Amino acid sequence: MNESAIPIPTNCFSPKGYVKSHPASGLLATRYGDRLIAVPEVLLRSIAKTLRVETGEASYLALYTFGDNWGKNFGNRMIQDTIKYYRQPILETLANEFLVNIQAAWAVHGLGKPSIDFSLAERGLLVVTIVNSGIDNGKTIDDIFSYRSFSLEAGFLAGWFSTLTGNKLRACASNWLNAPASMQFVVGSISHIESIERSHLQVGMLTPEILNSL
Amino acid sequence: MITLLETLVDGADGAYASKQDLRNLEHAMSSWSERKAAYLAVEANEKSIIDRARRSMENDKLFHENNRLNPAMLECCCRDMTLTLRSYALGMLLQDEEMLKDRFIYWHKNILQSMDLAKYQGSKFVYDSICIELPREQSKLFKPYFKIDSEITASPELN
Repeated sequence: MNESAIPIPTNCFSPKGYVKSHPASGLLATRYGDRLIAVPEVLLRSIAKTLRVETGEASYLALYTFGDNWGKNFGNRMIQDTIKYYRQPILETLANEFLVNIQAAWAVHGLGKPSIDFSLAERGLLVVTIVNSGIDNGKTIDDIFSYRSFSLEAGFLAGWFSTLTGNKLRACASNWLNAPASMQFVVGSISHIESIERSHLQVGMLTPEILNSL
Repeated sequence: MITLLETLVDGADGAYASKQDLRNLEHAMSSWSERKAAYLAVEANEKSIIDRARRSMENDKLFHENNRLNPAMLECCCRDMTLTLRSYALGMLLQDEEMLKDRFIYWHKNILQSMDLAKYQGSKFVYDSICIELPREQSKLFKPYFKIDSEITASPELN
């Protein structure tokens, strides 16, 4: 090997590079040794369904809080793995590369493919679309969807973005017409999102016109 | 070859490798010496290959039109072309298109798209440079892999 060739990092979250299986010990881990567990979607559905049965309306808050904690921890791990792999702070990473890495991190964990729309950022809102969400459990807990049916994923996004930004944020589902193939969420300050929930989402989904007027 | 070996292992699960898989493996291994030589040649000539590719990029009309000439962007492109060279060299060495796509091309394409660089021709500059810096019997080994890139990233087709 040419010992003067300095390695150039590629894709930290490339599946075959990131996920390491050790059948002899029964362990699944990241490239840095952090444990992974393959979670079948039936587990998430069972948790959501059980909470719904046992706690009724309180399940929405419980799922949101669960998702928030999960998202925070996922965000922390993703940041740490990115820093280790690219050997530089996040702030020194090109924004476009970071956004692509986010997508790769979600994909390798089977969470789907997120894309972030910054067009409303000046109004304090991010619009996040998730394709093939691995967290969606709307159908499990509600026959008729509302924004609260997707509390687990909303909480996950809130926790994740809170970790990335260092600010306490809130998220809610804004358009679930094509769930689970594609879902849209809005992320922003707690007061802003709660206002949107009260004034718009109690009635129904956010159309593009309503979204642009927020 | 990684993909080929994985296919062979999956197919042989609890049984024996199929005759077709064994023939495919034998075929892949038959060109190992030539591929290894080409791979080592790329490694040894990386600097001259990238320098030539850089000059081609700096002289390219499209590059000028997009006003990408600032030093930081140039360095970024050179880093990208070096990464491209190394990734394609590995794909060629292991004769594995699927590995190349999974480990590099799709990720690379997503970054170029996110930076609105659909017309970026870094891969073409690298391939053209390989064709000049390496003997023809070695450079031709890279052609199928750069062709994949052009198909996936919608770069101009290679001749």
